[in-house]
Amino acid sequence: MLFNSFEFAVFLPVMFFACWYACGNSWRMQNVVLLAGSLVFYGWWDPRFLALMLFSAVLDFTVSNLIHSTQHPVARKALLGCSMVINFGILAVFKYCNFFISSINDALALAGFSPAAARLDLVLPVGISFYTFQTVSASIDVYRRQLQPTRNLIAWLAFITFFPQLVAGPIERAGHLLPQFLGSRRFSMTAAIDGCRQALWGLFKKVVIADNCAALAGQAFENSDTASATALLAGIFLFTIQIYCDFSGYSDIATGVARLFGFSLMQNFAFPYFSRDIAEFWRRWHISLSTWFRDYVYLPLGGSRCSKPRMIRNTMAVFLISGLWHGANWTFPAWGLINALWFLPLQLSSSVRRFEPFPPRAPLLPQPREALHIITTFLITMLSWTFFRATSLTQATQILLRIFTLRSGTSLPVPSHVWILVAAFLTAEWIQRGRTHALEFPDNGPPRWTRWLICYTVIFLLLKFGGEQQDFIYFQF
Amino acid sequence: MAQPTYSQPPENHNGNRRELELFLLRLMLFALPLLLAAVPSFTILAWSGEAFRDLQPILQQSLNTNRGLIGFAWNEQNYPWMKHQALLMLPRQDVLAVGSSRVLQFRREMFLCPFWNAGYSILTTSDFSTFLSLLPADRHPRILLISLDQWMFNSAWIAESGHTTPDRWTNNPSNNLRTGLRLLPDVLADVARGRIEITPLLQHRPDAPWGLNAWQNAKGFRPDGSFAYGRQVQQRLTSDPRTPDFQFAGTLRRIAGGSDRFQFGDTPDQQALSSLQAFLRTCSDLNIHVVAFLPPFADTVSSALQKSGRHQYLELLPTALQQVFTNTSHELHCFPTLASLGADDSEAIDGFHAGEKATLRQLLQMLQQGSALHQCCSTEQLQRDLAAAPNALEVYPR
Repeated sequence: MLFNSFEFAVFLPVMFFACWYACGNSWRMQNVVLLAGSLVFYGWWDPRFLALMLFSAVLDFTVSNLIHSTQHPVARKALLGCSMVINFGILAVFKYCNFFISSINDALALAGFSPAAARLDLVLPVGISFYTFQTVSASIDVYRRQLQPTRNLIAWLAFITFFPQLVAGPIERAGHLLPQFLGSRRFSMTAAIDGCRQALWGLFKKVVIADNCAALAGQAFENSDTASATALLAGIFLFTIQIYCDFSGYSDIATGVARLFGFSLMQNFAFPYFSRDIAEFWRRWHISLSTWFRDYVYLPLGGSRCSKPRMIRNTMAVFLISGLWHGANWTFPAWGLINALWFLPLQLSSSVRRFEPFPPRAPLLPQPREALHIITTFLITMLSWTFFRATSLTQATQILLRIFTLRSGTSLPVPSHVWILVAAFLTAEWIQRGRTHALEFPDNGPPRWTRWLICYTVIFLLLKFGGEQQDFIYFQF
Repeated sequence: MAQPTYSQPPENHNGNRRELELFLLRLMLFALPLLLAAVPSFTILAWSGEAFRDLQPILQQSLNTNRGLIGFAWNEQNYPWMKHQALLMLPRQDVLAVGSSRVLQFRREMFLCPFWNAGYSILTTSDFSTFLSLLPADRHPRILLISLDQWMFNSAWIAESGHTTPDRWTNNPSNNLRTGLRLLPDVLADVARGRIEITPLLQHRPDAPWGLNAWQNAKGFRPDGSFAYGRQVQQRLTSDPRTPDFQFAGTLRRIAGGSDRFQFGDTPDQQALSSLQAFLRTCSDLNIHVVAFLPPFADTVSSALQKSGRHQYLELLPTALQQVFTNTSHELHCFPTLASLGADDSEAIDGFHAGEKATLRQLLQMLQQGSALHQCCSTEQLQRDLAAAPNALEVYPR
């Protein structure tokens, strides 16, 4: 079920009333309703894959309890290994099998041999990368004795399948979200209203900005062999905006919807396009994934507290795996590698910024030096996205070549209202960068009628300028 | 990084019923103006059939009963699907008209064999092949009557019009929720400006209109697939300044600015010519005879195009097309202006759409030039029809 669909517009109020009215104050009953609702939400797409998700969830429920009850280090390690092999094995089969087969076949073809195997007819289960990471991290935390496992299976399943963040994150840690399923939840009007505003802003980002940019960016990439340098540059810029609005829009809707049910999810995006260097960008972009890789890959490999060659290896490994996580195509590891190459000089010169939220009362205009850094980082990120969006490494290289050689060709007709909307969106995000989302108002902020007027305007823009409905990009991961 | 454990009791407390009710009250208050604004627009859109309604049963009914006028004011993206769907619903037609809006004045009354007009379904020359490939073999016509719009061979226009995919003909967009929602503010604004009248929507109409254009302007597609211009014909006949493209001013502006189908161009697009050539080959293989024509511009428009000096591809186009048709069994007829048909600008709906009477003249000229359409037409009858035309724009009853 998509957040931007009619089905969800019916599903959400039904779940809301079922949770707060039909279940009374019983958080256990609420968990049952949330679990049932989440299974409907996921099964709406394809009920066959419910079994796969439930298997993964039950596996880690069992494994984490067994690890907790065992003191023998070898047994603990074996149990964790079992969980990881099975979970990542499932992920590998569904997501990477055809990629491996194609890569082997290509290599064999280059060497003059016939293909080794045919591609499999597999459907990638929606959200598999997200829930796999969520369940595995819980087992690892229990193994590290940083978390006590729960014996409440319903609460555990409700946590893993929680519908707002099930298919595209944020990838929640058990230490943060699971406790919220293990006690009564309080309905907060302030949180619910802000949640509605956050969901509205997420919907605006997805429906108005991302969906409008998607069609145009798609046109530029599809005609990349004939398009002019400016058309390709415009296409990459629009994709840069699209992917941010698509993904952070989903996170905003997820967080806002979760707040309606009394849950608090982690912040997944912190205005990444206003970063001053690529390291800061990665502290602000898809935070739940980058911290996952930091805690479960980078630090176990030795992090930065080791020799420089090892540190370089660790950084490269994290970016390459992160790239591969995003998709089964050579373009994704390439995208990860490029980001690593931008990141490493900062790391080697020890000038990696720590994550600091923008101050609530940040100045309206940046300092010239800051503006220069922001623009440079944005351009670097934009060019990197070329590899992410291209269908092959050849296409990505050709696009960049056409841009840098200023090739002439067909233009990309971008309607003026799209430019205006994108500019208005970036301005709103810049002004509100000290908050968690652009429609968050401080207690001493504008009067209620102004807030309502702003929300009505956003709804009007949603209705008037909503692009053609597109799937969320991150569903395919 | 150390993760917190959850051995401590959660911070949350029992649900607060009062806050919940206050929240719902506030939500309702917030939603009330939205609902008040949306309900009239929604009602108009749904009642008229413009949006939020499935076109499929209406189309089926219109084809079965041979009655109905389907005309959308905003949702023109319904038409390619509608035309393709109608061909799947109908039995095989002997003559099928396919092209842009410039083929739409060919009517069933002009033909003795089964005829249907699938105009308004094609943008570029490559669309012809895609459209044909989406028809099952038992729906292929004997004769395809196609209009070759001049801009189909203009590289700049082709680049701007984008690439079409088969979804355009196969996906039913009529009850798309987002499309309907997008129209709500427009409808509200048009009601406020008095551009949408409520009274006609409440009247019983013999033409069974569907869509706001059909309801408001009697403008839309007839059951034979041809297009009725409705109120616009009356406006044009009475030289009403509110007529769209009055005195061809809009078209002349586009020509001067090189925009919206009238982009500048030196030579005909080679790729478009190749696509057409491939399409003709496919038709030959499928035993479909193609009757193609270059539709005329109004004389004023044609002069403006010649004078502009930046639309040279138009002068080269007839020769380039003749070369494509040479050594094929298919036909090409070129009608550069209305004058070439023995008509004048009074027979044009607008700058680049010939009216029904001028279209009948085109058909007669094709027949005089020995077209294969003679198997399905009676020249004498058509000449009688032309002579009895009630006005400069219409020949047959609406």
